[in-house]
Amino acid sequence: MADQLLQIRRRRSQEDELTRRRFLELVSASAALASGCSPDRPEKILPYTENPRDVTPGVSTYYATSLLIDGFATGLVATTREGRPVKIEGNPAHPASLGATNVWHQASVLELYDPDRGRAVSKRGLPATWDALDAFLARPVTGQGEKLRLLLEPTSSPLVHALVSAVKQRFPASKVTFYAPTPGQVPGAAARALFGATLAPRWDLSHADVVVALDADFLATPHDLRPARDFATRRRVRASDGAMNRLYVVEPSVSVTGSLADVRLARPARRVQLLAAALLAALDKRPDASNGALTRLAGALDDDERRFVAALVKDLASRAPGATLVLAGERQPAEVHVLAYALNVALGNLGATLSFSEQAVPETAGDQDLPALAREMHAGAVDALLVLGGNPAYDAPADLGWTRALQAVPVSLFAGLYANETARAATWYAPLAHPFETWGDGRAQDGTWSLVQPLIRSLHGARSVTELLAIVAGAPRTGDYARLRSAFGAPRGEVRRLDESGAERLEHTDPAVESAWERLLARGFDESTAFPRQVPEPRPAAVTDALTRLAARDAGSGLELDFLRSPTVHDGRFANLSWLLELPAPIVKLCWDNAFFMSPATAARLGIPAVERSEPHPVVEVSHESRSVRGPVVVLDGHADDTVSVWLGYGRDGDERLAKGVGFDAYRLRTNDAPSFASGASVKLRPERYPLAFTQLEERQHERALALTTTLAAYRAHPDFTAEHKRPLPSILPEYRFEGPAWAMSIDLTICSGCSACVVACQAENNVLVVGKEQVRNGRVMHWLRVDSYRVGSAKSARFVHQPMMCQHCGDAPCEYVCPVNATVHSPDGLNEMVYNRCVGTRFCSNNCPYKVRRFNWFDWSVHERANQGSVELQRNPEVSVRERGVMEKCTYCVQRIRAAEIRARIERREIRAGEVTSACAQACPTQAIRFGSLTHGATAMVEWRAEPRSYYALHETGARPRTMYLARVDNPNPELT
Amino acid sequence: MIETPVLVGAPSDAELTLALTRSVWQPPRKAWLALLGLSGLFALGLFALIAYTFSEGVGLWGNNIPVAWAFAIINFVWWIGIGHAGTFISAVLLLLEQSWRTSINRFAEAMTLFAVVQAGIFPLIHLGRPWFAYWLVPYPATMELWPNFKSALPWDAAAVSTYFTVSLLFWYLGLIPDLAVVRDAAPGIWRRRIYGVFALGWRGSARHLRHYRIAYGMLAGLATPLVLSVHSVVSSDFAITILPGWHSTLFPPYFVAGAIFSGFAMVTTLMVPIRRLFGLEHVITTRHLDNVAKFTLLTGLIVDFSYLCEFYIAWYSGEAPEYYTFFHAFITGPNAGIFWTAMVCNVLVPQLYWFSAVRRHPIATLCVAILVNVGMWSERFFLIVISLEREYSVSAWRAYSPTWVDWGIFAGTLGFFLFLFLLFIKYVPFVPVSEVKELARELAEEGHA
Amino acid sequence: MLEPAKRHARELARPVFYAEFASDTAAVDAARRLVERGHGVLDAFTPRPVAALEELVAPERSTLNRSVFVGGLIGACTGLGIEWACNAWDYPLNVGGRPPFALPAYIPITFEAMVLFASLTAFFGFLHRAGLPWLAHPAFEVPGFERASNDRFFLLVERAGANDEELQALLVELGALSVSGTPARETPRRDPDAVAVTPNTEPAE
Repeated sequence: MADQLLQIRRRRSQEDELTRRRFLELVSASAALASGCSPDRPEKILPYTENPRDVTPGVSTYYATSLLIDGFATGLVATTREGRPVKIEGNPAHPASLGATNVWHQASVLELYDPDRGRAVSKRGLPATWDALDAFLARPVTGQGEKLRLLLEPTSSPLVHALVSAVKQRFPASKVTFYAPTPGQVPGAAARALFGATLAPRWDLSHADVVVALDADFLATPHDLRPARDFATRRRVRASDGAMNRLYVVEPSVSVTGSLADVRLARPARRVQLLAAALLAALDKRPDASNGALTRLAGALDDDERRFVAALVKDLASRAPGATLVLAGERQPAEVHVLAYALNVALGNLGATLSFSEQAVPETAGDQDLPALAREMHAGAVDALLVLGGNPAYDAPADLGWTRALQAVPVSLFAGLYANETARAATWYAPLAHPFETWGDGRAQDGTWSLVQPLIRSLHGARSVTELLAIVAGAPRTGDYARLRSAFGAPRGEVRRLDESGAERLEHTDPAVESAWERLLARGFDESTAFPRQVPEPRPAAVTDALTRLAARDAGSGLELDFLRSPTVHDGRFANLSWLLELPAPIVKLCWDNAFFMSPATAARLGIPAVERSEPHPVVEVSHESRSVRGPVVVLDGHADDTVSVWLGYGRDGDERLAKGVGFDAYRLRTNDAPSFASGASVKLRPERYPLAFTQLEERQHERALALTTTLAAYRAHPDFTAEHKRPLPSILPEYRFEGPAWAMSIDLTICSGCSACVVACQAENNVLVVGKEQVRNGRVMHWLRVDSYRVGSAKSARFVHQPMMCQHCGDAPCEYVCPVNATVHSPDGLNEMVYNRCVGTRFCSNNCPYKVRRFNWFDWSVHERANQGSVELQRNPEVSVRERGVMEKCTYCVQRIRAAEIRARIERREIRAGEVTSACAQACPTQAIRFGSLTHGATAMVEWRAEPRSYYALHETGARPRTMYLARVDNPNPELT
Repeated sequence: MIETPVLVGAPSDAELTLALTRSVWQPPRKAWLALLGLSGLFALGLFALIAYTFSEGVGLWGNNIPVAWAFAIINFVWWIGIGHAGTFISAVLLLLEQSWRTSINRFAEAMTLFAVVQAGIFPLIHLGRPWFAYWLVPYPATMELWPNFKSALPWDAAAVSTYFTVSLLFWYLGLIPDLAVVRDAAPGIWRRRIYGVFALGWRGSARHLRHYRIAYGMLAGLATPLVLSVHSVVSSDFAITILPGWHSTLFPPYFVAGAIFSGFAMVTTLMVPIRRLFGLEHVITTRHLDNVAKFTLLTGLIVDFSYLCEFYIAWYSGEAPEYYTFFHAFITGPNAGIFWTAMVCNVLVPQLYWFSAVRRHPIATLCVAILVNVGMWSERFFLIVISLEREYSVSAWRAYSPTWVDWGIFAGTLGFFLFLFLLFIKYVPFVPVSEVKELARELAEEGHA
Repeated sequence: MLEPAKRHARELARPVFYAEFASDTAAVDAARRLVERGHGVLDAFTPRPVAALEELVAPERSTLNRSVFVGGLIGACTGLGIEWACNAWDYPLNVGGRPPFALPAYIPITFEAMVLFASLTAFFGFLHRAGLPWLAHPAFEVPGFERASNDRFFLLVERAGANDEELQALLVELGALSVSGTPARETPRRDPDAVAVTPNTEPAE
């Protein structure tokens, strides 16, 4: 036994090392993959003397692919270098991306290389082989599958659904469950009730003048970046006499959307239904709508809510039909969505700003829900359970007793990216391939069929969910590529051919099909597959039903507990990604932890002492239905009273080494009947304190001209209110003549939502290393780009202005003249350059930087911090040096991209074109609030924005003459509510 | 009132030689040995911690962004400040023909040198990559890159190294005749030889003295503006920036006054124990204590006035960041306690020197001097650290707290300083013998007249 | 101005007497009388500066101050020159929008270089003029010379053109505690004859 263990340990440690040889193997293999061969068969290793096709050393190659989050596909473009994916961008043509990305897309490339990913099949914790697992999967149960159960994550993938059907064909009596801990879309039941069909809403925010978000964080939808873009186009006020939309938000905590609101009402989530009912009562004039339930619900409002509703109703009524939009969030119950749809119907928005289409992730695909499955498991009605993805042992509702239920199942399999909590409880563990390692597909929210292309051969020989399903279904093991290829074209024309590198390719005999397939691969999706928009006919009775049900249900009282998807680690699936763990959460700026959030008034009522953000925080024990969890409290301005909100996804206890011990597990408080919010929680102060890592400690601006704000009315009255912040400053310094393009940035604070995608994009592009919680607490975070969030308005209805702050590339840079060794100087095209090799590390430049955007390598982070080590090093951008300890670093305006474009332009004997270069942050930005380009390129948005009256330079009075220009945040408050 | 003499009695030349060189030949005392051992341990600790910092990185210290400069620079400025009094006493008072300087100038100069040695450690070790410190020097490198002389740091490097060199030359030039005295009085051949080498063959030649006097006077004349320039340059490290709390044209005189203030306090701190230990009350008299205290009071008042000016300008400028730094951050900020320590020690405590009883009482003046040293260290702390903690970008505000390595290095320099100083007072005649003889002669002549 | 080495060689080539006196006044009186009688008093060795003796043996002003001025000037030019050459001539860079030749910023180093060069000139200029270091000067071989740094005052009296016995007697008469002499010699150093020609005589007081 001891010998065996020793062997296991040795093998693991060997696997931990991604050797050079192994890496080259992978690289050449993945290069061969790029030409479309199946990864199942062993390929010949190609020496680099004979270049694999499409790979030129030193030149990036780009592949269109997709990533599924919450089951929905977002089209992406992956940059690979010598066969290794290094950066993810949005696919500009893809409807769910529009070229933008969010933090999770950006971090997905880190997930690919995560050294903690599962590497081998195991059975009861001991190493096993794929062959043994295949044997089990080929025959998991006997008979018709009465005792076979499948548990999958909700997905839009037609391939997965087809294979699930195949499994059902082979085991007709088996049952399939789709489960995700946090809702990914609004409940289809609402549409089913109101329109008679399970439909998904399609919002058109680009035509809505008034947007009412009822607990809806639509600007931070994890899988769809279109709402944010559409909202921004209507939001951006172009001239001082321009128009902009108005955003009303009701929400318990402070979300990204809420921070941007013009009118923000912080209320417990359970009161949203009352507000929706009150709105409906005031707006829907039909006689049957004014029933007793409605008046009862609407009558429960307090004074502030009544004022809010009155003003909102007046505003909505004053708008043209179809020019408004009422949104309810996916956390809210179906009844509230019925009311929201009814409101839109009453406002004439149906068919205008609101239409419907088929659900891309079909809610009805499963046979039973998780509680039913758990009941069966407890009852011993399950012999074999196949959990393909997800992490139910960690995130299932606490009252299901999931782990005990799993123990009642004789044989279970967990297939996942990591050997997580569920893997530990299951019999078998199979490592799942990362989306960048497999073929696959999915649909965007609007139905667009998007391809998942592998970018590299599976690093650990892992397999995809579809491959496992195919074995269970007894389908021929042709591989995902063949299956996908077959789904696309007529299967009968396929032949296998050898390409010039000797690898096998699947080709079609019909050249038209073949070229269409190649086009699809190149584009990454097929736009013709988007679901048609529908404008269904509402049934008014459904509204009455919903109202009656709401009125009958006890809305709950006492302290409300709100379970929120973490803005950084989602539902916990990304909890091992150091970029996300260290990403300061939007608005709160907390990283490496979660916490219980509450308003100052509630904290005072509960006797929780006020502390500075830098001090250790008080710890509370929050109890709900006999379960309790301990965690630190963060008092948050703008949080609803009588509510405690908490991020899910922390307190992980799987094999993920970074995630372990970060934060606490709030799932343990969550029950099946109240997955999003629950009433009746109690809070008890504990004697201990817990230190938290915030990147921003102060939320007011202290009269500094950093992030300027105004209102639309004030802007119209005084368009030149920023004149003081961009006037020419007297100077005795000479005027430098810059040559070539003049790189610059314009950032519109009005449409910056603070989502922080730019921060992770910058980190991925520029090899920004993570430093860990202790060092963040020490003030040594390395992000080149930070998003500062300053409070606007009173503490009670706080909103936040977000300011992406990075090196401003000052013309008269204060950092430069204080450097004793000329390590930071100005380039002829006006960049503030940081020469790492020349830096001796006096840190004088940082002291003299008014924007405090310079970062210092206090240690050799790649040695000092474990999160930077191991295979994640493969993600590093070869165009950007990894900085040595002791040198200063900062935003370079992505100079490597500028220089690459220069080289391209020189080879082609031309000037750099407008729009040819953009920075990583600007490229990622979902609302396009960051614009990058050259001042010499004329009519680009970046240049035109600077001419707008509200443009200004941050801290202009310091005389640094920055290149980055901000556009002041304009809010459009309702005058009746100010 | 009868002025206390700068020399008590009318000792003969031989008596003076004996009195002032005796300690060199006597076997070391136990107390001296114990102190030397202790300070040597601290010095070893200093080198160990420097090695630790070099191997791991300056991340071992408490510095962060925004407080990129902290203990190292505080200690640098503090030690450099202390290093001002020696040369000031020697040079300026020589030029002003202040006869009382004679008894204390030698050890004040040594104090300067050793303080500058401590100060010089910090700019080197605070670098992120200290092994490239020589890049601050213009030398023809293969990369053809040069230092940037617009930065105050090359000024610093030039000023501190010049100051050290000139102070060393000045000290050594003054020491040559006394080394000859020790050489000639040395009991054994080896000591004669060793001291003889350092005495360079000095024989009190009248022909040499003619040049010697000019050279010494010239060095004094050059050292005087140098004293003023060094701390002006050091203050430029802060004054040339745009940081509220640093960006001030008042800094050069303010820093120079503060430096001499702290330097005189350190002279008192060392002088009082030395005269007691070596029984030199007749050479270092209460007149010396009194005069040094008066200088401390005077420079202290200049420092106080500078504080007033700084606060006034912060208020008068109407600049929100400037106002915030002075009227919020200093007074109630994260390290406000240090600010108030500085105010008490630098503003209130020196006012005791208005009373001549305090000035002439060795223990009282020692206490005041130690508090002034603490106060001046605190002043550098709040100027450097609190200003950085609360600068323009509010989102980057963050407090600073030192680590044990920070404290260890600071304590190590105190030990290293004491170590060097103990060696100095044991093996070098720390009261200038020939100058005291000259003084005795002059006083005798005055007495006859 | 003679090269110091040559000058010292010439100085040592002369036969001299080292006359020891007990006090500065005695030495000054004796020196004055010797000069009045036409004897050359070449130097005086005293434990502390005696102004009157200096006036007698070396009345001319030192030219060291001129050298220091020139040294300072060279230093200032070197300092400013290096700054100009590095930042404005050899490799001009746009540093914070400041002009390549930013004179105000270059003043501190110019000043420091001036002081450094001037100080070095003063120090080494003194050593050069004084012919130091000279560890084995013949004077050190004069018996009792170690008291020259303590409480005795020595005069260096030229013997050339005078009768040694007469001069010796005169010195004793003028209060010399002892008179030692060196003969004229070609090689000034390491001369085994450098011994007292007359025994020390205790003063008759």
